[in-house]
Amino acid sequence: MANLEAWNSAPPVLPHPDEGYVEELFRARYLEMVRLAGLLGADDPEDIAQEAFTRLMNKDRGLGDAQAALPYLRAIVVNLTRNRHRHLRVVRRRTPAVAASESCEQAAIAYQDHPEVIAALAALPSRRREAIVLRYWLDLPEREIAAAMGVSPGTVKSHVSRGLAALAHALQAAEDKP
Amino acid sequence: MSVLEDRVRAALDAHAEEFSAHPDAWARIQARSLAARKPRVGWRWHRPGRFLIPAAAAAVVVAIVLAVTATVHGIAGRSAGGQADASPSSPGPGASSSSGGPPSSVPAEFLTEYPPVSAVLTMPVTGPGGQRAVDYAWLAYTKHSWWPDQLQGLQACGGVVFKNDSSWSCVPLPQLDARRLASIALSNYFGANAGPLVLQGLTVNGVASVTAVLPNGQDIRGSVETGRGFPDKAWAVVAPADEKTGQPAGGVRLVFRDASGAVVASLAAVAPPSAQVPEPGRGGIAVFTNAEGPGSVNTMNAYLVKGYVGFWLRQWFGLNGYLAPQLAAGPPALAGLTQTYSDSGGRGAFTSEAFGYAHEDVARVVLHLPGGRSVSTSTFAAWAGSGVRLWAIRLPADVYIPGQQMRTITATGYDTADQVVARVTLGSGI
Repeated sequence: MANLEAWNSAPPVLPHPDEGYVEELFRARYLEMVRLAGLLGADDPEDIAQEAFTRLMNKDRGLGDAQAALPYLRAIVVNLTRNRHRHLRVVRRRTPAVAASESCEQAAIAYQDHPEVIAALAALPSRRREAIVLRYWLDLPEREIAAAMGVSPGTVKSHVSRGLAALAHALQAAEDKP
Repeated sequence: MSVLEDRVRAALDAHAEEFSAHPDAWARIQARSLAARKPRVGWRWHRPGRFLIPAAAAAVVVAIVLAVTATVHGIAGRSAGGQADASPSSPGPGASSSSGGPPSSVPAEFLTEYPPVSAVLTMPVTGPGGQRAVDYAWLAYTKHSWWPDQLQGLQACGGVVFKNDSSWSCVPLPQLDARRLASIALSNYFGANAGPLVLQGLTVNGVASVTAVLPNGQDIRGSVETGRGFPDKAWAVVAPADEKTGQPAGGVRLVFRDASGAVVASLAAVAPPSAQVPEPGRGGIAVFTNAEGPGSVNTMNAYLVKGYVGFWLRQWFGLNGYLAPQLAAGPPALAGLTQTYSDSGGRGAFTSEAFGYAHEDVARVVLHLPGGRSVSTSTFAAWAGSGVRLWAIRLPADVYIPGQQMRTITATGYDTADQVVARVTLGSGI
């Protein structure tokens, strides 16, 4: 654990186009990818991050440009988390009692320090949540958010704007509760 | 920047800190990658060393004793009394080498504990008397098992099938480098707890053959194979054994040659040490005692190690230690193992015990046995203030039949009001 923390506290290392760049990228960005999956509501963020790196590793010959690896990695994490949400929704429909207790939203709501914000974020539609997390946690520009989400920059702007509005509304409602 | 945006950033930053990464992550990614890659005709895996786990992860995953042997049914590194390889789909002795799925002769629970992330290589081997057997090798990734967590991760697994007997074991994946071009990872008996040993391990890709050279000059030729997911080549060869020590006979050397016949590496034939998981020095509670034979009494002791329950048993072949894969205070409320062990002479008499721990509200454990039978025992208090209770039951003799796999046993825990608290499947008979 401590090792990984140390790796991630170091300045980001740009991937080099050689055989070891996946490993370098892992050292520099693995924890970030775990946290990205977690903030997007994945029920097993490490599994998502590991799968993303596995796909990158098995794709490295076909990627062509090592500089493209990080955006590719982010896009995989976003997609895998989204797919996981879809799967969980299907599971919930089939077995509501069991799945409800295991949902990523519930896990997020259980968070204590910023409960209202995290709960409101968890309640957002997944695209809006993705846009908010990529914008305000990773501080990505709209172009890179668009690449990670597989949408246009204009759509990103819309998701961020509507997401913030929904958050403001939810937080206000929470504060108005007696 | 608006107040709302600041609030969102702060919440996200704080929440992100809640997610951490397992130190074993790189090894897990490597294992997944190996498993995902497809075999290709004439394919060569990356050069030796590429597979090496990076230093930080290796410190956790592989910087451990190389030759700690896991076994099936509690016969450490030796014959497991496994199932005969009678399936028509299983390669028989003398079958040509291949790399496919697990053979039917590998006990299912062993595959569950050590699921392959590579092809399962089939390597025919021949004993000094001309007897033939089949050796198997695969790489596995183990995550949750009744072993100390430092023994989890990538494993080199293998076993040998000979007539009606088989033996299986796994060790943390040995690493090769410029000074270590071949390593001995596993040793399994050719027959039932006696006879020659089948040694197996890894060597660099340039090696084409392995031979055991006996002191009298006799050569025993082995097999060298590779397949999907193997960073190096696997090898297997038979060596005569000293029955008293369980080691290969003295003076036997293993010689590895390349395709031109040049010697690449040469090793003294020495069986890797068997499982020697350190037993805690104090705090042990006797769970059951077994008399294996005249003058041989063994006690299974339970320990609470940093919140995990572990069991240690000293037997005629050494020490077996098992640590539960989850914290005792967490789920499940009931957990346990079965263990089958042989008499002190290894002559084929077997006894089976089920044992484990439970939360403090579990007063009684019922085991559901094959054939609709059940046996029951009360739990007893363990360490003061721990909330842990222990239990053990001697199993009927017919639950384990030599030559067959231990069948699945489920356990139900009841509280004092006879309400069901937990129902679990017992761990594999390690």
